[in-house]
Amino acid sequence: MTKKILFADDEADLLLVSLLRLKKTGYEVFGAVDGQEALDLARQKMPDLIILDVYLPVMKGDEVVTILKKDEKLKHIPIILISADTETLEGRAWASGADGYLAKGFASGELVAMVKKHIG
Amino acid sequence: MKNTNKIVASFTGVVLLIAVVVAVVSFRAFSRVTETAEARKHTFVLLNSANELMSALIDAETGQRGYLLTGDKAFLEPYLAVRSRISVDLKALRQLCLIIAAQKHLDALAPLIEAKLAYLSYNIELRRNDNMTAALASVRGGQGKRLMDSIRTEMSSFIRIEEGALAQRDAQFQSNVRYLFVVIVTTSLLALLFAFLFVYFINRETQYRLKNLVHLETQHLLLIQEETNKQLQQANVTLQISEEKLAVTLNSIGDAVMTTDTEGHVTLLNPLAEQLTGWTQEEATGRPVEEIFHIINEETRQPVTIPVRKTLVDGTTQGLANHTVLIARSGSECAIADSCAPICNRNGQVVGVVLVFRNVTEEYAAREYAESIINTVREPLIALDQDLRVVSASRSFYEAFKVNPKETVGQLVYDLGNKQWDIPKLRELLETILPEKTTFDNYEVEHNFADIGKRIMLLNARQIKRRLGKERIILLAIEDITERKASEEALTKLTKMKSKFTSMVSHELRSPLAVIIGALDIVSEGLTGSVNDEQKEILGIAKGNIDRLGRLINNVLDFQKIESGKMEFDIRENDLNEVLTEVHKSMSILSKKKGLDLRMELEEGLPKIKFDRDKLIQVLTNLVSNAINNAERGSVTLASKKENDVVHIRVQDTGIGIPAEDIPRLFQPFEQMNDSKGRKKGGTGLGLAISKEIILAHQGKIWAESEVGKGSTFQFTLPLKIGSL
Repeated sequence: MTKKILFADDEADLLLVSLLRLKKTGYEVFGAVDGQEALDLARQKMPDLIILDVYLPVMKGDEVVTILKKDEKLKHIPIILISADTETLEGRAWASGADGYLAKGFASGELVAMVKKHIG
Repeated sequence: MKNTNKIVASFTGVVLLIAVVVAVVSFRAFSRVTETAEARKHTFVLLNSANELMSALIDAETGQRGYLLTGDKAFLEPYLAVRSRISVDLKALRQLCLIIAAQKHLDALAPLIEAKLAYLSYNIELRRNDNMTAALASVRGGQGKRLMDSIRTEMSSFIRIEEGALAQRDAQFQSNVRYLFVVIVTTSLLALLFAFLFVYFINRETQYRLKNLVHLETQHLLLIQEETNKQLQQANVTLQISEEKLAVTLNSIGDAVMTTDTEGHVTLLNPLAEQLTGWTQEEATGRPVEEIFHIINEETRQPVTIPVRKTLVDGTTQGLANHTVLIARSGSECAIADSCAPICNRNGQVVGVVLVFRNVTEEYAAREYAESIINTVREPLIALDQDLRVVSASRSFYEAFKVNPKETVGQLVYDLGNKQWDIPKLRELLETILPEKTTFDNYEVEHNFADIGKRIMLLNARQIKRRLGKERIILLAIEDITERKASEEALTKLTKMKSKFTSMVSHELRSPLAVIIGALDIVSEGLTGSVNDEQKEILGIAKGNIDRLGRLINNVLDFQKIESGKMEFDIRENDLNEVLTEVHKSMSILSKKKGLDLRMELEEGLPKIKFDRDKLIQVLTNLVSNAINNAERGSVTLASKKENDVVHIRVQDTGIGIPAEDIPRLFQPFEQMNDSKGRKKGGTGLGLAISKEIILAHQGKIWAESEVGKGSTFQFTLPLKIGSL
């Protein structure tokens, strides 16, 4: 069965390229452009992996992580936080309870490797 | 004195010793006398008892005879008394007797007396039975008489012995008494002798002391006299010296001195006065002072009254007005300052005047010099006197603080500019700190002036003690640092902004970069359809430059971190050779591409040392990639070696080398080396600068050696034991 990945980033180009990459790698993908949309989509689609940008409009990525990790139905889903702010990224990932993090500027290979690490 | 004490002590000692000896001897003599007296008494008692015993026995016999003759029982009383007592008495006598020869006689007496008593008893018994005849016959038988004779003989022997002993004891007693007498007489004589001796010594000692005392006193008096003589001599000498001194002083004194009599006629000129006035002592003596001392006002050039006359009349000290000029006999002029004091005799009468004056031309010049210096200094400067009144101020002070000279000099510093200068901090500095420290440096004071607004000033002060006099001068430099402060703050703000800006820009650049890389990867990997070789090459060029841009951003961020001191190091124990091997492995692809030989010369058995693994990989990658870039052919060597307390790491290439003049700039930021044809290479200009900072943070050293055409060697050291960071 095809694995589902939810990817949220307000930067449309990055979102597009990332979704395309993951789709071509063989995953079913959903894109969100703000925190609320990501939360709604997560509940609706029950993805196998969620990738969230930290600086999302409406609700920040790490806030979304906190909410998801409190949800009994969703807390098992691995979440990866991404951000260009490399200095605070690791701390935010730890604090929110995310399962991994990736600094923006990553090569597409790195993204795929990270995804594979969590859902194969 | 000590001697005397010694004599008295030993004397007392001897006396005490003699006293003890005398006491012992006397006591012994006395006890011997007592003993012999006792013995005599004892012998008397013995003799007495013996006689008594004898007479009792005779009484008993007489009584028995009376009874035999009369039959009257009353005659028996002595006999009965003897019979009941005699053996006890004899025993007592025997016990008292101490002479063995005498004891024998007593022992012999006992059976005789026993027999005698038995005989008497027998006779008495015969008479009691009225056998008168038998009794008389027994008496006549003479046994009683024989026994009695024997008793008498023994007793006489005993008494004789005892009397002999008594005579002996008498003689002994008399000898002892004589001895005692001799002792007493001797003791008395000795006591007398010592008393005489003691009196003699004390007398001698006292006389000696008295003599000494008189001698000392005499000497003391002589000394005093000598001293007085010396003092007198000294006083004479001092007087002479002081007279000479006065002459010398007057002649060599820095001031000119002139004296007059009560008439105001000159009596004395010292050489300096001669020089200034142009008159000699001989010529001037007797002339009126006005003729010799010709003074005018500097500005008006009008004659000035000489204070001599006033002093003569009032008897007060006078000073000359400032800016007085003395015109010498020759017509030459000089600025002078002077004072005039009365000469009084002991009764307080004015007998003349002394006029002291000096050439102040140079002083004026010095003051002008000082003022010109003060005025040249750009920093506002004011000089205050002891009471914190302004003595003078520099031009820059007037300019900077918009106050004018007329309202400044002579004013209390706090009153300047309508009391605008009444600054609490300034008061504290001048009144509390300065008196204790005589100096203070760089006190920042902020004050809101009514005229010129809020100012920040840097205050420096020196308290200068004048060489003459007690007053002090306080030099206060006031630097207006308002503008400087503002520009410093602006600079700090700007630096912060720059740092924030760089960080922001760098971060923001990453996002589009990630998008471009992602997009290029998708295309070049053929995910969107097949790509031909030419397209692949072009995409490769684009990718290579994007990587470079990424490195540049990372370097800028790193450098930013280093500059702001925010770079963090994860220092822990690591295997250096393992790290070198890893770098070798990752860089070998690049070296192979260029056809270079990437060698390793690692020292085996290096101890583990502490460093930040990722940062060291960054440094090594930078050095090795530089080496690979620089070398067109040949090899690049990566080596490690332990030397004393450091590990030495070397990256050597056989490249084009670096000109000697460029080597010092290598580790500076934004300095890029050009290749042999003067073309730029694809570096960021920050790699070596960052490497240097990383190595320095590890307490190591980094440097480069190179020879153009032969290659370059970049080396750095890491300490085996790193101190705390």
